[in-house]
Amino acid sequence: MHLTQEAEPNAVTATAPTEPLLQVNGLRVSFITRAGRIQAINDVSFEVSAGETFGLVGETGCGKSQTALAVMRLTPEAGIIERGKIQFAGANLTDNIAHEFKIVQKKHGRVKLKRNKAALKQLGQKINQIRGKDMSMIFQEPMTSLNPVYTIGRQVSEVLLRHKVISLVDRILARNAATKEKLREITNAAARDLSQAELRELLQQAGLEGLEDQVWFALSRKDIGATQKIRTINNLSERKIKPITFRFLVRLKESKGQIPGEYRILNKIPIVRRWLSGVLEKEALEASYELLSVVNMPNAANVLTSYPHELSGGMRQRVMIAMAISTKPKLVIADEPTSALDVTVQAQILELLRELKRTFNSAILFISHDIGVVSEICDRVGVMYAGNLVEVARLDELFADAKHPYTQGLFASIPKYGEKRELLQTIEGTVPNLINPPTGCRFRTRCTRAFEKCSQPPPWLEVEQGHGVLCWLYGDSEKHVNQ
Amino acid sequence: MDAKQDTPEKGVRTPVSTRLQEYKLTFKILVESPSSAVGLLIVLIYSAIAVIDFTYPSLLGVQDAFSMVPDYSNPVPSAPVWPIHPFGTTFPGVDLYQAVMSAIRVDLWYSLLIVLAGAAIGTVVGVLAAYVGGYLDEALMRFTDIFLSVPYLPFAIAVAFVLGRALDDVSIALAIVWWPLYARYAYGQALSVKENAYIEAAKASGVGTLGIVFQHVIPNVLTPIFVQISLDLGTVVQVFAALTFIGFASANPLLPELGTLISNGFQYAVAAPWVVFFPGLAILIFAIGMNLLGDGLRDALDPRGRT
Amino acid sequence: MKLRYYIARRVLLLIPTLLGLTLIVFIISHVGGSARLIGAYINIHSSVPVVVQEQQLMARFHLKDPLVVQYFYWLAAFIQGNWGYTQTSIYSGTVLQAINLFFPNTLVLSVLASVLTGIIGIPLGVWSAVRKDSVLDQATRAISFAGYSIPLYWLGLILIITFSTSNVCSCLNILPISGTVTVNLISGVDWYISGISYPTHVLLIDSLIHGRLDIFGDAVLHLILPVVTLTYGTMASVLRVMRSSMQDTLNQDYVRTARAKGLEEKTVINVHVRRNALIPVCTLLGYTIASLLGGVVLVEAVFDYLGIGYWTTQAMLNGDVGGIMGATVIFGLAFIFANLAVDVTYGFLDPRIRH
Repeated sequence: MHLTQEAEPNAVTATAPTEPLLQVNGLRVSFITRAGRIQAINDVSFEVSAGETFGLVGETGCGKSQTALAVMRLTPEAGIIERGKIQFAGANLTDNIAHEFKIVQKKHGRVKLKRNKAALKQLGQKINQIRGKDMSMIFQEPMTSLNPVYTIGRQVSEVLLRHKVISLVDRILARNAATKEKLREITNAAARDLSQAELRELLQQAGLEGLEDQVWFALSRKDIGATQKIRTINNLSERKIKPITFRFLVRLKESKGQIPGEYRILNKIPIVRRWLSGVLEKEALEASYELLSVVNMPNAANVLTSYPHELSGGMRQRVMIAMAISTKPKLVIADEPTSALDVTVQAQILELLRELKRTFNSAILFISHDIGVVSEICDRVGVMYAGNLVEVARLDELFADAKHPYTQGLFASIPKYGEKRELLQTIEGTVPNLINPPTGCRFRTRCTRAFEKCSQPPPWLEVEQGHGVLCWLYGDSEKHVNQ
Repeated sequence: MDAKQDTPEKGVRTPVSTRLQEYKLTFKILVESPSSAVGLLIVLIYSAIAVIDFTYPSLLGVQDAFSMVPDYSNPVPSAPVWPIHPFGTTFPGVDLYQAVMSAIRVDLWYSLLIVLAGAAIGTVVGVLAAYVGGYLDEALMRFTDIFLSVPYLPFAIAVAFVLGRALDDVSIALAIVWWPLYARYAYGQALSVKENAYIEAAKASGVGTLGIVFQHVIPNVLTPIFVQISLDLGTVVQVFAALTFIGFASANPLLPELGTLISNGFQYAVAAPWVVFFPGLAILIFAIGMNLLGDGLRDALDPRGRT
Repeated sequence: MKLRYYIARRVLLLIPTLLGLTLIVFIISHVGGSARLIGAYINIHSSVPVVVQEQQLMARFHLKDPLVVQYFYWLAAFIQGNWGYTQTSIYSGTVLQAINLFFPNTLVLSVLASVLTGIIGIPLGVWSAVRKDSVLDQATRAISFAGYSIPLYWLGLILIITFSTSNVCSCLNILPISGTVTVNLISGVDWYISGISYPTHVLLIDSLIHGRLDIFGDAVLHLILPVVTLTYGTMASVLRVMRSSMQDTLNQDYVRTARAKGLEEKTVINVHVRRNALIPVCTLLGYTIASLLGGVVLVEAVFDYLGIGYWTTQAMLNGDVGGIMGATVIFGLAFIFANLAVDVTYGFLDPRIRH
């Protein structure tokens, strides 16, 4: 979004073009419960490249959601990451997992989980620079995922105020520096078709990069005509700030978003603090309005001052998406974003995600139980069963030539148009109990082609370029993916 | 050899448990936690004392279970002396230990009556209002709300005062004060039970309103009500003793009762602390036990903790 | 809807509630016949003989007519300010005047206890839930648990025993154990008559008005034990509810969303969790206030503190109907208005309730 230098903490370093954005290796997650230890995720490894949409598909309980949560380090209280490495854009998110918890044996065979507060604090400091900023998440239940006591505007602004303070400052300062003369080139160009890249060029020449989002927003509005658009853009230059505000903002930018030294004492006074943060909050609210429009929110201005319970499920999900994309993250994790919505809304949300994918070129990790939905949006797909990743392939490859018996079973069970059947095809049996899963391949109790070797943990085999299977049927290579 | 036949038990989900298993699980969770186990123990001990005092008081060393035995030759409270007067004596020359033992019985008895009466009335009112809805709902709930506009202690004082200021009147007053709380609580619970599928099923099979209320709604509301009762019992004992402390008394001035004991000993408190210490301690320990048990029950029944 | 409409609606709903209160008082006073009601309105200081007064009252309140009619006449008298007469060992006169004299002291006690409860109980509840199962959390839970299991008047007595001259050790003899002020200090002061200070009836304020800082200090000391007792009892349940509510809130989905946004844990707790956790506390605040008002009666009785609670117990012991009725009314009023404040706070905290 901005060509101005933004202070980036060293947690996330630049990735080499060939290195994948997200690397998950040998992930093992368990839950400690009264009934026993649930082995929810068993040795899962996959990669997501920059700009790629990777789908994770499987039935309820297969561990796909938990995988997503593990990547965000949001595993619930009772869960622990026992092993594995999660690398995101050069940062290792699991470097200290060995110290984060301790399992204490109590009598009657009960176990208690003890957390190491210091290690968790350390993790928090590192991951909170990444979460919400370079990596964001959209949850399954829009009804409960928004805080009921705060307005939408406040909740969306929150992300910007946390991670994008400098950008907000740039916006204000650019407006301050803009004049009608400087904007002439742009307003002239606005008459004809202007691409975002061209816009950026022009603004850079005029030294007004901070205006990019605001001008682009004005240009992409569908509710006003060309002359109105020009007027809107010109109006941007009218909005000036007082000299004291200007001084403060410049200093704020210089100290990289932290309160500058000389303002620290003033900041203690409630009235002053209100005023100082008020400047930024107002700006964040404007940016939120732009974001809501980007996600096609009807009546966006009204929504900003509304509370979550006043919105429908589809609208709430749009809010979640707006929050997720507000920082132009490198990776967006979408955990069943459409499962709680009805079909028509589902289609709209998917279309929105596709559009955003085109515009922002973020990578998307898309979780779903519905392979139909996955096929609408994903480039590559991973299939999960009972905590294991059993197959990964490109979308078309998977549909054309599924290798794993489970995947084949899945496809076979989808009724096809024009096909005449008496009974639906199913996979015999039920999903195994994850406290006591079958030894070796977890699918073997239901697999029609299982044989004696299946009681050993199967190897991960690259059947073709970019197509892997976890199955004994495809060879004997001992190439396991464990650490 | 078909690998599918290999250990077929592995990988099969456990069957859904029966109601008896649920109760057993509740009990197991309850006693696992040390605090609720202690609570249960305390409550059991108190119940035992009450029962024994009623049937074989001499087992506890109590001479007369229904009256304190004064000793007018030594009316001034004297310090605890083992083993004659383990808790000392109080005015007028009554052995405090015996008095407290019997008083426990008296207090427990009245408190149980009060809570059960209040809970019974309140639950029926609340459930009826919630289930039937409409005008009955409005009327009953408005009626309940009127009672809730006065804080319970002053309200109980006023009612007991006009009824006659004896212990039985206090009990009635407290029951009157207590049932609205249950009505409100049962109302909320019944509202959520009402939405359940089995209610619709019962309606569809032709069960009448009262039938559904008593056969389906009330039993399902009973569990949280029961938890609430156990939590309330501790409070009611305290409130009852508070009222007797303030001045309500039985027709029989020598009836042992914990609040009365404290009130009798009030003047001597500074000089002879044991006079108020032991009766109050008896109340405190019971309240602690009941609260521990109630909390423990509530936690044990919480579905999250049962996995 | 906007907050102001919500508040306006709540205020309007006061009217039926107040009427309900009067109904209760009326019914209570009529239990066992109208003789009691008459008893409450007899003015023993009047020059009019009692028998004549009785006849006047029979006529005035239409005591021969059906109950409903009686209610309206009584209500009329009530609204006009005629609440009957009280005759107890501490005061004899109109009920309204008695309330005027005694209520300020009770107000001081209750307000102090409430404020302390809020200042200590809520942060402690938050803190205790966040640091779950730590040593300090367990200690807090234990102390809080004792707080709502303990009979309040017994606690007061124990404190009195502990802080009185002859017991434990004289090092603890720093706090006065009963009354509102030391007798020696106050005798000879013309603005303090039989336990009531003038003009505001609040000793703390009056002593400042009259420039007697020593009396002020003494009054403060006398307040310490009663306030501590009352606060402890009330704070215990607030603490417990706050803590459990925090735990419930911490499990909510939107807390996960807040973390996913990369907010600092401190911000997550203070901004997203706390406000939502306060909502159930608010709901139970009504009951807590009821406890507080009940506790006031007990605490005042134990500490000989001249307030409405003390007056209530005296009225009860003296068989003073007017006093009991008056006390019920004032407690009811206090409770109703306190609940109004709670409802408004609730509406402020939770936008869902405004719809």
